Amino acid sequence: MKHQKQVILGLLLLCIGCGLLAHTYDSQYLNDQIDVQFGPMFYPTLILVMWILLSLGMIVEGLLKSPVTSQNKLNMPMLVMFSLLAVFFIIILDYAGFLISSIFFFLLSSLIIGWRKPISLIATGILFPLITWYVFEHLMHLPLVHSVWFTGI
Amino acid sequence: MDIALINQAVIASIQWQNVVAVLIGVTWGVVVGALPGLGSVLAITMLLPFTFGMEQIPAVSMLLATYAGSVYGGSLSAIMINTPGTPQSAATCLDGYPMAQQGNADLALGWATVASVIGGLLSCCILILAAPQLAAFAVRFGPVETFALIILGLTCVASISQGSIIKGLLAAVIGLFMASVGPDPIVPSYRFTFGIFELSGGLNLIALVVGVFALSEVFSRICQVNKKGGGGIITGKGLRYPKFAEIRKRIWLAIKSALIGSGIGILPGTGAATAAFISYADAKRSSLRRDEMGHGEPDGIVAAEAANNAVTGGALVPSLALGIPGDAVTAVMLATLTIKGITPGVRLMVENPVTVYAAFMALILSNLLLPLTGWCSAKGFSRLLKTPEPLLLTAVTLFCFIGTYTVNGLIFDLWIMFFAGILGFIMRLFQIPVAALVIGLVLGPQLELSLRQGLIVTNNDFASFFSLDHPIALFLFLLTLVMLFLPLIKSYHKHK
Repeated sequence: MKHQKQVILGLLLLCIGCGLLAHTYDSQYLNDQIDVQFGPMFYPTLILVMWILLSLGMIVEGLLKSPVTSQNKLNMPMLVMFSLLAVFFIIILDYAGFLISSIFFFLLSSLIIGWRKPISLIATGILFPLITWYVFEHLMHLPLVHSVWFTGI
Repeated sequence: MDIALINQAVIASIQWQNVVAVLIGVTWGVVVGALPGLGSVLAITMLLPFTFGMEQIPAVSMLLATYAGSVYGGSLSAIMINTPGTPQSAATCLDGYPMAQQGNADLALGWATVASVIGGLLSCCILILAAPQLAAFAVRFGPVETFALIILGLTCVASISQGSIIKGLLAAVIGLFMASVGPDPIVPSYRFTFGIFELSGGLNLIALVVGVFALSEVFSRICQVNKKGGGGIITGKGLRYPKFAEIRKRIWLAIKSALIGSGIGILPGTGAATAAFISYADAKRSSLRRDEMGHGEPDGIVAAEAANNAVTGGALVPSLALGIPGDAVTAVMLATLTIKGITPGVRLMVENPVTVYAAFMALILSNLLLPLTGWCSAKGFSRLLKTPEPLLLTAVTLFCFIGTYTVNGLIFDLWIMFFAGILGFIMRLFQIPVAALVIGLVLGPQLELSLRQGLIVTNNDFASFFSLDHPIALFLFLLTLVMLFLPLIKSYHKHK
């Protein structure tokens, strides 16, 4: 099973490599060459050829190795929820600013990963982002994302 | 080398103002270096405004101490949470984190401290004894020689690819490709941006490293929560130094790694990450305990840490002796010198010898203070690691976001980090070494630039890269061949 997956990954990488290699022949790169024999796509083409050859190697390796069943069961629903939350965090960061988004992220993320003690959850969920924000913004003078809705945070 | 000048420098550098400046610099460097994504440049630039009101020597000393502290600080998070605080410490993860997983995080930190001090001190000695001579040698390093050196660095991909060399090479090639996204280094052109303006500056290295190492680690742990007794977070117990007998066994490795680090540091533009990986690859080839490397062997930590800390001294050679900044950190240093009325360049050693030697002394003092600041930081880190896993994973994720954002102030970098995290997670699932990808990312820009500059210099004659016209390059290419084939030859003879 694992090696079948390796073959699939190899095929996927092969397709991506071929797509990128095809892109190196795009006309925009031909026009950009200014009296230099090895233009902007010389090096990426070399790299992509190696990419394709190694993807083929990975496919062959996957086909030749005997199939092994995966032993570890992964908690994928939890990972998907966490990833979606991270995506949502990045999206709202620009609007709500670091402080509000990170409190929201901290509370929900800890809940998703399995922290169920309400008092410590709320205390850390609010205090940690608040202290972090204060240290970075006011002590280290490193600007974090500011809210377009609320001024000052 | 003038002993009287060195005496004057020693007296100047042990003034209380200077010692306090060094202590503040080291502590600040260790703290900022340990935070994923922030790094040496940020640590120094944040401290720069505070140096304006200071005297010449304390100002330069504080910045140098910050530099040394930040390189060391990166190893703390690399060992404890598999997240290199700075790209320089990426190689430390390879053995530091497995050692921490075995319950020896404190010992791993002890090894990192010992190796850092040895590396840092040795490079300072080299700096004091032979800065002008080494600087003269460094200028003989043209693009062809740099290309040969980077190829030598890439050989460490083979040594970290356990199980499948194809997967390791593929990861490195993906890293090399990702490093080529953005502006062309020779002609005015943008590559693989697909109309996305934010990609025109290239993929942010910090975002990629943080994503591939740290975020993918968070993803992996989340996947294991509630399975087989939970994710098994590392528990730290502060810092424990290895026994003297153990140090003695690895002293030559530390010295050799420090020499590699100093040598690479002298070359402008190569950097500590390159030095750490080259040194690691060399240890993997030559160490008596090479079979254990990658599974928590102290040799891996010693090789990486001695080399990356030795770069701090080495990098000052071209900066102070020739006025050539090798990287962003030394550029900030030179800017500070200029602000303080000192003109960097070939006359610096003649016109301001006491300041230069005092800077070397400050670096020695910084390295001597590393065990103290390291011990305090490790204690603090250990307390943090006692936090329950869900809260800790969330906090690490939040720090990844902050560290990445503060580099350029771009939300786009957060997306890069997120997708790099997914990529790293997939690589872990398929047992593809993520470190190989990082090696490709770190060495990629230098590899391309030196190759294309080399082709221009040699009139597009690639064969002349391997000719006697470039004896240093030829030596490095031969060394690469030896590093690649010696293990094969040895195993053949053993088999026979």
